[in-house]
Amino acid sequence: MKLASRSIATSAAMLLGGLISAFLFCLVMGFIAFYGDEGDVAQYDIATEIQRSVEMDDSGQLGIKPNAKLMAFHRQFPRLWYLVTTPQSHVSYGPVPARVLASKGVWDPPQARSAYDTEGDSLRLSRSARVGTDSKFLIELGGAAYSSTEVVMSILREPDMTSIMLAAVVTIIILTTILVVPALIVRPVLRAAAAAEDIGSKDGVRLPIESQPSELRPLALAFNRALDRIDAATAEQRRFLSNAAHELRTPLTRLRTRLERVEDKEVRAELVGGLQSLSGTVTMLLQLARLTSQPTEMARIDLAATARDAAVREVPTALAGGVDLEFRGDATEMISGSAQAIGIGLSNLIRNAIQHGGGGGRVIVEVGSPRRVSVIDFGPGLGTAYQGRAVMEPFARGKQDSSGTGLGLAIVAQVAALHGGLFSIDKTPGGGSTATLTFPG
Amino acid sequence: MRLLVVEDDVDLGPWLREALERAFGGADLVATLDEACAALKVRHFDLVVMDRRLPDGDAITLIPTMRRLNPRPSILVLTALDDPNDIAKALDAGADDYLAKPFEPVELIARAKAILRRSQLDQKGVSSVANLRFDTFARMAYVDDEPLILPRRELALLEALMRRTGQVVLRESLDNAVYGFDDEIQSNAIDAHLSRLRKRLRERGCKAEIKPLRGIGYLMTDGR
Repeated sequence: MKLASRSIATSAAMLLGGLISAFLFCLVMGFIAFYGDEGDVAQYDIATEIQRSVEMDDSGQLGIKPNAKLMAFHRQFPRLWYLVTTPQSHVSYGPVPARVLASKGVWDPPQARSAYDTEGDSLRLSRSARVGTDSKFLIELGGAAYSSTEVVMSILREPDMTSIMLAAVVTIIILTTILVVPALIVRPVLRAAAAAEDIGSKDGVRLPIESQPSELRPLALAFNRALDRIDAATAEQRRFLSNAAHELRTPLTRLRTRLERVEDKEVRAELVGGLQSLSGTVTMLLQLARLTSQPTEMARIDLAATARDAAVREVPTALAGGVDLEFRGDATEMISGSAQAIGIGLSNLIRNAIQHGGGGGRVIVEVGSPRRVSVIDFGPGLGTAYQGRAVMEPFARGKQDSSGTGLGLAIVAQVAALHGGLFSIDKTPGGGSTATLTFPG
Repeated sequence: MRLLVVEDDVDLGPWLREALERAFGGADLVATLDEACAALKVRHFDLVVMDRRLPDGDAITLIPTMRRLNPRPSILVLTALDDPNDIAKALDAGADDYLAKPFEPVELIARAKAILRRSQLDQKGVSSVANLRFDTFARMAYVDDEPLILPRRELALLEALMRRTGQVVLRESLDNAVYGFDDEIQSNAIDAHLSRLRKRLRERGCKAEIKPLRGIGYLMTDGR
């Protein structure tokens, strides 16, 4: 699971880098295994350690105090031998061949030399000689050759130019792979993602298929098919809501006109009130259904203008309720949102404030910075029992006997949720409630 | 005043015709787009009140035809569809106003009156609210047929408000109505002009009222 959720591009790059370095490693190993060490690598290493272990006193007397590495070579190669010669003296270790021993004392630096045994087709270094620092001594040795693994270990232990270059090349290849491959894979994916982002809530726009790399084509096709289904479902939903609105409202209108014929004024007022509340419920149910079921088109809008439009719309309600409706907020306050949805939410808040907080005689719609709009009333306020989320649930009411439908605040909460904003209800200082919508930037 | 009701509902249609006839004098009722077209060819209507969903199509399709008529009838669309897009579509097509079903009978009459008042002001240059009358050509206002002498800016304010009686007029539209591009606008000059205008109207016993709406604008009503 964890592996699957990691970036494909990074995984691919790491895999490629790994494969390339493994290939190179195998190549080197194969090369070494094929040619092997014919003694030159091992004997060079040992000569180096012998040189470090040689001690010479002031009179030119030779001594060897094997260091730890040389001791290890002693153990590793049982047939190892060496002979260190100065013009005055010599020191030896192991089974030095008689031929070599015979020439001891023959001090003929400066040249280093090697002697090879011929065994069948292959050459094998049997002896190498090396001249010490300042030509003070001559080291001759033999009887040691590395296995393939040991050659690699030796190179790794004391890297020379060749192995450093090789390592550098491998590193560069791996780095290039890791940097380039993800970019190659990711770019078309990002392009497709940007195209998908552009589609947004516009109808009928689809991902381009032709310009997609073949791997992404099935995904783009599936994405477009999903969009087709969503569009169809949205259209169906819209049709359904339109029909529902028509089928619910036409009989309500018919009923309302018939009520005009009721003779008894009191009975008529009562029936009209009931019908109005029923109509209000129908309107709000349709609004809630529309907000929850249809994609909202977001745009850059001025919250102040939207809020003032809502206030203007509700002026007749305010006048009918004997409430002074005031708007505060001169500066523009740009947000990303749907003016329609926010307008519906604010209308509900204002009507709510007029209906339940109108006793204060005043309702204020205030736009503040940053991206905040409040509807302030000076009425009795919500009871403490209803503070918090409960009143925002559909069909929850502040008071059981109140004439509200309990849908208004659910609509406002839905509007806030659509915008990723916050909806809160607080006490107005001095009495009443303040409902606030806060929008993200 | 002649009105045309386009409504296919068997209950609502006759009721609309009756209510509008009582308020405006004369109204005819048709039930389909075809009949509406025929009726519009035969005679002039001052206002067409129409439902959107009709048996032979969406009433919006009729609006462009109506707008080409001369004199052009005003259009009030009744709609049971409350999708804000639907409402915007009706207004964009050229309807003067819309009313969502179900509506209060008084609201219908008030909207129809407002539309007719505006179109009369445009076509005949005269508008009246309660006992207040305004003549755009003579640039004179009358209360109970007595001329009311008003300074230029107050007259402009009164015209702007009467043009939209029953509707909220935003402060900046009043600014635009009173001041030219080059005039320096003082932030509360409009309020001062309006407060003087309201005082004058009150003193003359004018029944029409100008309601101030703080931070929003002003609203002219017939005072009832």
